[in-house]
Amino acid sequence: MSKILKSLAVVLLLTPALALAHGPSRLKVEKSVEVNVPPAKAWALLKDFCAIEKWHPAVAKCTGNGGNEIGATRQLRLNDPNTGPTIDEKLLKYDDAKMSYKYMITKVDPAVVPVSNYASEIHVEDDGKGGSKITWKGGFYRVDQTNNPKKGQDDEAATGAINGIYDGGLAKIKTLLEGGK
Amino acid sequence: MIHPKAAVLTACLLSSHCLAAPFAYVTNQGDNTVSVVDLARNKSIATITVGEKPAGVAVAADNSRAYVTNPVGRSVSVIDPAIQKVIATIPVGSGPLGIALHPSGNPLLVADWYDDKIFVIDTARLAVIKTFPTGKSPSGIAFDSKGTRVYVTNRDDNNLAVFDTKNYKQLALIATGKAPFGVTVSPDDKTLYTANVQNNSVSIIDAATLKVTATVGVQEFPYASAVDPAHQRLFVTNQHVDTVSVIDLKTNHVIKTLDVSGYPEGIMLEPGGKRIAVANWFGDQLDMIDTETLEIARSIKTGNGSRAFGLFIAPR
Repeated sequence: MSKILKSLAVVLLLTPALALAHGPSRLKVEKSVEVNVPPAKAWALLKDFCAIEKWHPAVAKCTGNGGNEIGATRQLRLNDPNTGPTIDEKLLKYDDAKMSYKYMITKVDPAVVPVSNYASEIHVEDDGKGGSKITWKGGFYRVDQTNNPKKGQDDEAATGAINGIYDGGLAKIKTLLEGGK
Repeated sequence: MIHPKAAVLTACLLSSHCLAAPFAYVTNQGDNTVSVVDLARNKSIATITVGEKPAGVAVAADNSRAYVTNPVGRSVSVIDPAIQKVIATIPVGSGPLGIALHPSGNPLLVADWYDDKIFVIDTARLAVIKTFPTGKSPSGIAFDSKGTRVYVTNRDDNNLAVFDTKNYKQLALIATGKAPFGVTVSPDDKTLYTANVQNNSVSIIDAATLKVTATVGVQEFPYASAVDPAHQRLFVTNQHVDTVSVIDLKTNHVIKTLDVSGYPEGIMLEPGGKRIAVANWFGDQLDMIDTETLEIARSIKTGNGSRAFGLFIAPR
């Protein structure tokens, strides 16, 4: 089992039961990493929509359709390139000059990633010290949008999952960019 | 004895806040606060702590009161702008979200997302006096300028409900696009606009015939809209692509798509008509769009998760 899904499971087990019920508020996660390479080099690793296959430890395979055009899609297969669970995503915005792109999840099994209405942006900027800052941020809702969400489909599960996914990706990006000098 | 409403109005007229340049009351859902933004000085001048996860806001046209919904706190916070403090918190339903104030200042209507009904609050007594049912997941709510009608989007029924405000009798249900959220009434009351979240469109509805006259495509996950009557344009926030679509209402075509800072949501024309204010949930700021140049003139920092869902600027 991949480290990402393992940490997901740990997060879900550790989530305490909450008596409070939650309303329809959107959740936000923003994470970044600083890497000791020029922004152009960082962007070169990230710029293709299907490059996530290279830089995310949980993604075993990415099947893309439409390259980096607005509306392009990608299907991620997690863990096993043939039989692993899938996530379908669509490219919403792409700016080569600004070194960023924005996408949304169009289909995912809530048991795999417990989020709904998820949209996200990755972007690279100059950190002002000769290196790069890579930021991954997303907005989403929990899966169970009733007033008393089930455990595993509540705000904590959603936020925990996305935190784990971002941490895993950014860590591997740093290793890939700084490791092979 | 002075009638409570007259007392509020008198106090208001004697205070500078009712006469000064407009203020925006921006709900920051991530901080549980409201940023009070002075739109003449282009800066936030106060941060007021409200209830849990505030979203909707309705400010009286004379800036005597601001009302905020706290969907997680299950309440409405009542703000007195003269002292910039919450003076009352009214428990309302299970998930109060959309909120609108009758043009006279009373009553206040709150749409409850979970209870599928509208709460009617007497603003003099600060108490719920009545409820009436509507469709599934009511979201946007707006009065016409005379307060004779109130419009409610039923997000999960894909329609717009029209109510008479005398007895809250439902006059019509109009099919819109998928998942209508914000509803906007044109300043002349003749046209209604719904932002349809799940099919990326705006429904344009004639308020007299109560029929959809046009459906205009915008971008991903539109939230709300605002009319600029001087230029006959509609501005629509598209949450997932961080843009605002500008529609020319003479042709019903999108004439420009502007980049804004991040997850734009609440949107409103500034009194005087020179700028359109856009609240950004990820950008944590107001982006001010110049209505002549259709460019962002400046941005004003607000709090975490700014939404400003409703009519959030006064005096107007």
